[in-house]
Amino acid sequence: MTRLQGKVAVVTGAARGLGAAIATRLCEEGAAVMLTDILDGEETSQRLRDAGHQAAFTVMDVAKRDAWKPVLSDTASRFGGIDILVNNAGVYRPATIETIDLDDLIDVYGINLFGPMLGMQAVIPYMRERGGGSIINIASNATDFIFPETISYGSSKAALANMTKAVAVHCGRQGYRIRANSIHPGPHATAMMGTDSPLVQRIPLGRMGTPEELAATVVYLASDDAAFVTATELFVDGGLIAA
Amino acid sequence: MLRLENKVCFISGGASGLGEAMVHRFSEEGGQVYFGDIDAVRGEAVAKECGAIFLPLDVSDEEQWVAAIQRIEQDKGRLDVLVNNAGILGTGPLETIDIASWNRLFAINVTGVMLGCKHGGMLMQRNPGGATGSIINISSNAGILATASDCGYSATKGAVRLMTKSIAINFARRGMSIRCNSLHPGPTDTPIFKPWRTSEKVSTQLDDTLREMIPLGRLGQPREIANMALYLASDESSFSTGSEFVVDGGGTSALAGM
Repeated sequence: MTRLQGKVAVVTGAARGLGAAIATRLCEEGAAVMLTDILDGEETSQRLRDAGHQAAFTVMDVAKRDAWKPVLSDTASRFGGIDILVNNAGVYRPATIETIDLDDLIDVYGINLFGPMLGMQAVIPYMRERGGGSIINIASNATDFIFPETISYGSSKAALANMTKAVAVHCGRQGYRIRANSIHPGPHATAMMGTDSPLVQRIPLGRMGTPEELAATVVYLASDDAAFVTATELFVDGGLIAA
Repeated sequence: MLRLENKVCFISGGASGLGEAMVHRFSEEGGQVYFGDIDAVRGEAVAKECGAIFLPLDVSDEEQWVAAIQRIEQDKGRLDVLVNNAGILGTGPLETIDIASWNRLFAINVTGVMLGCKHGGMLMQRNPGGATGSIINISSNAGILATASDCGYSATKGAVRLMTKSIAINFARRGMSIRCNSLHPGPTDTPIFKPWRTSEKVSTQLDDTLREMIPLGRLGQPREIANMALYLASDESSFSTGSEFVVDGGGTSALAGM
């Protein structure tokens, strides 16, 4: 399995859950991976190195304006450049319009939306140096599937999907050969979601997705197989929004 | 491990363009590939190139579908992947639509896809070990955004988009592991544009117009569309059903030229 041989990836929120599964799969396909998280991801990173992969971990709060530069610079000097950015870090805080607090909303937007913006802005020079790249933003099918409680989460992910397209069209028109797409997972069995979500009975496939199923989609978008795919949304949600 | 190892695949319209690229790509990844087309000469030639098996098929004819699927069942006893790729361009401006051409367009682009899902889907339901499979219906970016000069083509591709979701949810709710998704290519470098390329000047103008539509600044290559079909055919996409997969260089996300 060498679909990403010679490529270097940065994955945020990679200490556990979907991010760890994504980092693992990228490594298995031959990429060198920088894992970042506000949680400790050293164990995940060590496990990947023990398996013979190229991996490193660094603590990073994606929402902090100055956090990205040193992490990307360290990644490039360690692994020789950057080809892939996976903005996976995200947070869900349930609230309705009547209960939401502005500071909470700003926190959610900081991690889910402003962080990916900072990451995309900071990574473009590195990708241009490599003659191209692939940006993959993990949105959610909550962009199209509304609950009263998803006011902050859903709107942050909808904005992220829209922002992704603006970046994709800009990079395309500039001739950078940098692609940008969003993936929209439905409920996936992770620590954040738990395994007994009431949503399960509404999923046509009758089960939650697995982290590996999301990671396989990231590999597709990260690889040169997807060279003509940009500014689009890929749903991995068991059919939830189709009916 | 190849990505379609041991999977029995059928692709309609496999003798040229996107379908031909899929026949090659699926074969490279270990698929046991059958394909149909109305062009038997080109079909046999493509079959020879990559070891796939050609079956004559007019997708608008139900009897021919029955025969093609029967042959696959006799040979392999199963079907894992079906790509409803065969399609034709539309009927031109509204005022000049001729009803026979209109009916033929819908017979191929809509009825043909339904018949494939019906007979291919029924064989998938008989697969040893239970109902499994992946159906990929080739729509178009013209099934998402309108083409003003060709309401027929847009109408058929929009029909494929929603038919796909209905079939996907129906299978899933009945507990079958048969997935069904639509693939939406943008302008791709295939013989489908040949009728317009009447001179070098017209051909260049066409390419310029198409490029203006596409942020990546170029036409897609058939292999790039085949790569998405491969992703949907493989187990990598096992949690995706009833969804739309766009491969168009960003064309449906941007206003042309801006």
